[in-house]
Amino acid sequence: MSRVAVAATLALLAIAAPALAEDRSNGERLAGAGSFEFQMGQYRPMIDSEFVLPAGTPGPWESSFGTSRRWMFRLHGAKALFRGYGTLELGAGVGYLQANGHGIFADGTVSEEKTSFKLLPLSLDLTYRLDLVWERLGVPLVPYGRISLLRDQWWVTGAGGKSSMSGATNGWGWGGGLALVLDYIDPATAREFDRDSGVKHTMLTFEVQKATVNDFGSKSSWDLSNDGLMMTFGFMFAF
Amino acid sequence: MLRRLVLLAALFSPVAGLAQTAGQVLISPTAFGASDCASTTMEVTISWTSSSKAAITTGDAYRVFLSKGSIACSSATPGVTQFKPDITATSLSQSYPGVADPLLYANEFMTGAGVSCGTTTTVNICVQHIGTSSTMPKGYAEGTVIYEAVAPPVPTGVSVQPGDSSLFVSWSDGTSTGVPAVSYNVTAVDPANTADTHTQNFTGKTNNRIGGLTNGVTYSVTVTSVSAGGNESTPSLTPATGTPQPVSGFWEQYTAGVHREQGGCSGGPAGLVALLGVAMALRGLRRRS
Repeated sequence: MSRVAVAATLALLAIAAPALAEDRSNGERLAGAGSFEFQMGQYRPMIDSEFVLPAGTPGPWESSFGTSRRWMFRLHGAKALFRGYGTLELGAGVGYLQANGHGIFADGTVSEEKTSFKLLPLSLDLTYRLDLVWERLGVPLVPYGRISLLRDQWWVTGAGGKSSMSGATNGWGWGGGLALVLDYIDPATAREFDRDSGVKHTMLTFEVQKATVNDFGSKSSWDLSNDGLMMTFGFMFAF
Repeated sequence: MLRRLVLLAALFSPVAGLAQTAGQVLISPTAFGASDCASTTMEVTISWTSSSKAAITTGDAYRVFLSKGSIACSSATPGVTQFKPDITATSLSQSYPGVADPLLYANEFMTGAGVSCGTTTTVNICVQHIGTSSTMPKGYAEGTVIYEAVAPPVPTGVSVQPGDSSLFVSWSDGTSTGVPAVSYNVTAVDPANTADTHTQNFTGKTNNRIGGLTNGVTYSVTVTSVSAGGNESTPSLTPATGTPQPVSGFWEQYTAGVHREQGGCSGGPAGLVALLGVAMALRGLRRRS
């Protein structure tokens, strides 16, 4: 994943290089009424971290769903609160992730019975986007950062659907990323899109997130924090 | 060049104008099984929609033709004896028998189509929409229905994997009999207690999960195939055996030892209050600014 991240960053810098080389003053305001964002990234919870297991013994998550990360999709809407050098936005997001796996017999062998874990992560976010980079310098790479309050609704279905459990776990998180202003690449299409749909700017986002979701350290909560940093990418539409 | 195009248009336009797409005939039941051929109790209904674009006019009638061979349905001479006397047309979509008609039973339908019981046959049905001004039909509708004289193939290669109070059964279609299977009956029986017998019907797939079994009991599993007409094959020859066993899903594994999460929203209300609190605080800040 880190290689992908480095490659993506280099690609973004390569696209931005021409802009850095010349003085641009035709940047427009990125901020409007707010923004809408679609993100996707790969997630694996730290549920197994609460168990002290002998080496080579998988925890419940790993034995049910394996070690691979699962794709999580998120939608996020935000309203602009303040505009200065950048834009401060208050927003809310909702996501979805589903992991399907197989239950195990008492001897540890894998059965045909299915078990699943569904996650609906909700968030309340404050995002600050340093728009001046685009608006004043004309560089189409806009850095941004955000802090979030998180609430993960989850559902577990047992083997053969015979048992199930659900709950909610709260937490907080932060993220930081770069938004590539796509208007820079094709201004004519951007203006047409604005006329047709009211979308003033379209941005490709690349973000690093860290979430701590364990009911703020509660002893009676499992840890739904992402195992490590989560790299996401997506599209942001500014209205 | 223009003259040629006009000529081509003139040549093809009558064909395009006269060409009609056949309306559809539907038969209830949708297929006949072996025992239905001579049935004097199974009711049959023929429904159709005429291909005519014109509305029904006084004097219009429908003519029904049945045959195990082909029928020239769009022709004035279909080449088959009419099955019933003309039926008064009242709608472009109609059915036989109507409210005032005597019931139509399977044996009469089969005889009318010239079907010999014991031989799998596809019956063609044609309904012509006849007007008063021409011998050519104003519209027509076509359909088929199959009479299946034999059972579908006996399933082979039945294998069983244990599940939790269930067995995962897979099998293959056997040698073709000319009649395809559309569903399968899977039966699991405890040989030591035949009262403990479970049968489930599965459509389409040749693998499925039969549930409602008892963990620890060894079941003998057989599969039969069922055709569209309801013919059922004999059971698969060699029964497979399997013993359901308890399976731990993710939650059972998580809660098997000492664990933190109990489920529910124990920490939830506090979190919600926190989320709402932040939202209200931000709103307040914005108002002041």
